[in-house]
Formats: sequence, C-alpha cells, structure tokens
Amino acid sequence: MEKIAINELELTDLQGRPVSLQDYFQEYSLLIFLRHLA
Amino acid sequence: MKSFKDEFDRWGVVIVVISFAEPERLAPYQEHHHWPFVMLADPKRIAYQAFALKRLSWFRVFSPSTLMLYFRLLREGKRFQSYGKDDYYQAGGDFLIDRKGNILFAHRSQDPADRPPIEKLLEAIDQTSGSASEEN
Repeated sequence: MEKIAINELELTDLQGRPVSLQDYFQEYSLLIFLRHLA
Repeated sequence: MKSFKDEFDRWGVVIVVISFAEPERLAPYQEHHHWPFVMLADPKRIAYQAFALKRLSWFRVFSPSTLMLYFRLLREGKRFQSYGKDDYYQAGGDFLIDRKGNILFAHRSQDPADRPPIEKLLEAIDQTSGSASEEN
C-alpha cells in the first residue's frame, strides 16, 4: 500500500497560513487535486 | 460531488480540495463557487509531487474526451472564468487516505476529463470501512 508523509505537504489555507492535513480528518480524507480552476 | 457530501459525511470522510493556485487566487474562486468542502493551496506543488501527479502531454490535455467535456459544460451554460494564469498541463487526481497517510484509493487522471465515478469512490470507502471494522 502506498503511504505518504501527510505532515510534510506544506499546504496553506486560503489566507496563506500553513496548515496540516491532520486537522482535516474524521476517519478518512478524500483529497481532490484540481487540474486547473474552471 | 456536492450532492454526495452527506454520504461522505456519514462515512466520516472529509473532502479536501487542493489546488496548485496561489491562495489569493483561490479565495475569490471559493467565494464564487461556495463549495462545501475544505479548500487548500499547494502553490509549491509539494503535495502534487508526493502523490506522483505528473504533467500531461499536449495530446492528453486536448484529447477527444476533454474536448467533449468542455463542449458539454458550455452547452450546460458554464462559462470560462479567469482567475489568473492557469496551467492546463498539470494532472489532477483523487485519493482516499487514512490518518496515517496510507493511500486506500488512488486515481491519477490521464487527461483533464478523467475523473473516477462517485460510485467507485463510495465503493472504496465502503470496502475500507468494512475491513477496518473486521480488524476491530
């Protein structure tokens, strides 16, 4: 099974503040990576 | 996707939308669309790379299925809205992960129109939840 280090992704919220994906979990998280804005 | 949100909530799945656009571009986008999902920015594309989402070839970007999708969206009255410079060559994808970072379902798009059906995502969640219950 593939595994990724979810605390090393350097994501930000819409205000540009760094966030951890760990903050957006209940049991699972469905990540949708956009192709482009449309 | 919006119409299936309750179903995802029921399974304890938080939907997180990630874009490579700068956060200041995403804010007006979210204000316009009012998506009921968490939206995060990955302008350095570190997450895109971690999930092995590559750049698409010209042939993939302008594939017949992509052109058909845009034609259908235009017919439904959707109009292109500019939020600044876009990168049409970046591939997207859909991933179901658990708290430990295990990827339980992965779909890496082969072209911009290539998305997994909602039913397939729900099926993956159903199977994952089933095996988790058996382990407990």
